[in-house]
Amino acid sequence: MKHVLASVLILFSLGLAQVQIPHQLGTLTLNASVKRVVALEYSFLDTLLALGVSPVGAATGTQGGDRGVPPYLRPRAAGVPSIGSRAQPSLEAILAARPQVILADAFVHKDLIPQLERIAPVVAFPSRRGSFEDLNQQVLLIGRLVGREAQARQILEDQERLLQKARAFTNPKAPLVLLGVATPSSFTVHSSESFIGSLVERLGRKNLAKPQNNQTQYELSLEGLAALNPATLVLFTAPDETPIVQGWAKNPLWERLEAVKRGRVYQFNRDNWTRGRGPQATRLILAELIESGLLADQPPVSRYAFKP
Amino acid sequence: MTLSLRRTQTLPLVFVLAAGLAVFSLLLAISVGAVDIPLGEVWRLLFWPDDSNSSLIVHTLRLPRALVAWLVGAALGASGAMMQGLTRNPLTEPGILGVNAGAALALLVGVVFFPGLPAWATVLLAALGGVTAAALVYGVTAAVSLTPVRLALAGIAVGAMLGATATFLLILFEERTRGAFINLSGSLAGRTWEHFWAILPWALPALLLAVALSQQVNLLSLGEDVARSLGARVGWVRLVATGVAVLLAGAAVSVAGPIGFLGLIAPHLARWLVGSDYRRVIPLSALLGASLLLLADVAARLVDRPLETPVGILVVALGAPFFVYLARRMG
Repeated sequence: MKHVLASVLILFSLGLAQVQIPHQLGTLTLNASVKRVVALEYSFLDTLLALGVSPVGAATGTQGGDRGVPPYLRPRAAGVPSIGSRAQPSLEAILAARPQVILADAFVHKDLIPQLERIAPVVAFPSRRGSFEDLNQQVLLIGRLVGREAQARQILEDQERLLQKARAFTNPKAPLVLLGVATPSSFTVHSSESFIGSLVERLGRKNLAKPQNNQTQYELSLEGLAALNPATLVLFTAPDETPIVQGWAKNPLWERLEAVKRGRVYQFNRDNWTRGRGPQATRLILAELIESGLLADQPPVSRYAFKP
Repeated sequence: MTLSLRRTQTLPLVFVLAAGLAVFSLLLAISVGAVDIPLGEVWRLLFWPDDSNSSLIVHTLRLPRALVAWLVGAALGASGAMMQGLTRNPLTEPGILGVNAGAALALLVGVVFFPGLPAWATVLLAALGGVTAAALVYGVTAAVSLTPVRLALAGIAVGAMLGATATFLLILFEERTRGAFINLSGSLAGRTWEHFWAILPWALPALLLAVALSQQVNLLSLGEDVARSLGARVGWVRLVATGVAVLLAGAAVSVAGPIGFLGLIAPHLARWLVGSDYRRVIPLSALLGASLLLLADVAARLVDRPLETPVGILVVALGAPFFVYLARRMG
């Protein structure tokens, strides 16, 4: 009897110590939290660094045309070893980093996961196609994974307070907003279900673009933009590129856009705004959202005004 | 005999129908888009533009794109017909001869090493790349006598090599080539009047020259010996006709990227309709090529609306089975 009780107690305490991480491919059960993590997306890197955990490897390389670490994250990520790029992570480098868990994107790394599984258990989250809520949930789970769930909760609480503050700036009568990434070759709309789209909606500015064919992000032509005719247009561009909208602005249709007529075309750094997607990126985005005048539906301050 | 007689009698009708199809495709292409503009409205705006958004959409977005498609399709159709006549190989087209690959590679080299090239120069650059590829193919083959089969084989080999080099550049200079407007699957999205005016001065004279040279292509298609005995200056004609065919392909690739198989389908359709006389095949190939590309571009915009599928992928999806069918039938 004593024996049975003891073993039940042991089992019970083991059960308590167990770490369970539900994710896209099932639930990862570990006996203890982990120290050595490899992060294959910037949101995971941002989150881990915010929790004070330095990953043993992160996909910060530029292979395959990746643009590298977003500027806001560069100082803090400087010491993190690169294991290749997000599109082309090096399996050898990951193996050499001896991770206990690999954090992968459920969509981008789908085909790679079986090979990653042979190196270490994989936790797959929707980062690239995830909404603000999804990404927040991931902060909690990553916190649990590395044994810092309380800290993760604290980060989210602080973030919630910031959101409330930012929301006070929002003009409740502001019209619908259209957000999109402008690269040299394409304009990709980020709908209400995307990370940035859902974050901006949380702050009270409704998105004009809904997901199409189950895609939260999709390309739009100038004709498509003219058809939507947004009253507020937010462009995510990179300072080292000539975005496609630069050419569009030469078309007389551009001047007819409600957002152009109202002088409400904003421009933000696309690396910081759409590629970070972690708690640190969110803080920066909230600050720039307020500063730019976007929330209040004020004309953009010079720094954030799109000048064709 | 009766067949060719019937064909001679219906000949004007075939051309009228083909021209009608080309016009219809053009009108259809400017009637479809992200904004729903009623057909009647589009056609009225085409001739009587006003100050409305619809008018701007038709005149600054849809019309230039459709006209670029028209020129590219016509150029590829005529180029394919000429190359098939010159090489006496029904499986030949600018893609198979390595010309598209050469033009695309030259454009990539321009983007990577000489950024900021003006639009008119890119056409020239693409044509130069196409000519170089063709010269390479001719050079390789001429050393061992110029037979059609060898020419096609050398073309495929050189094309594969150039394609590999282009992929190499794409991987090595991904940052720089990503912004490049040329897309290796071929697309017409976002083409403007600028692109139209950039290729028109090359494509239009080349198209006219192609028609003017059609009788010479007829002679060459009979074989070098026969052509020579009929008084053709074989070497000279081959050179000029090849130059024109390559220029057409280069102009097409410089605005739309490499679009495979169009230069194969259009001439075969033309030959099926009017027989093998290149005086008819070349202009009809141009008309059919233009219609086919316009219709494919309309379909490319409707397949996954409002997203756009690159038209090149759609044309390959149609052209590849046709190539297999031809190859199997030839044994």
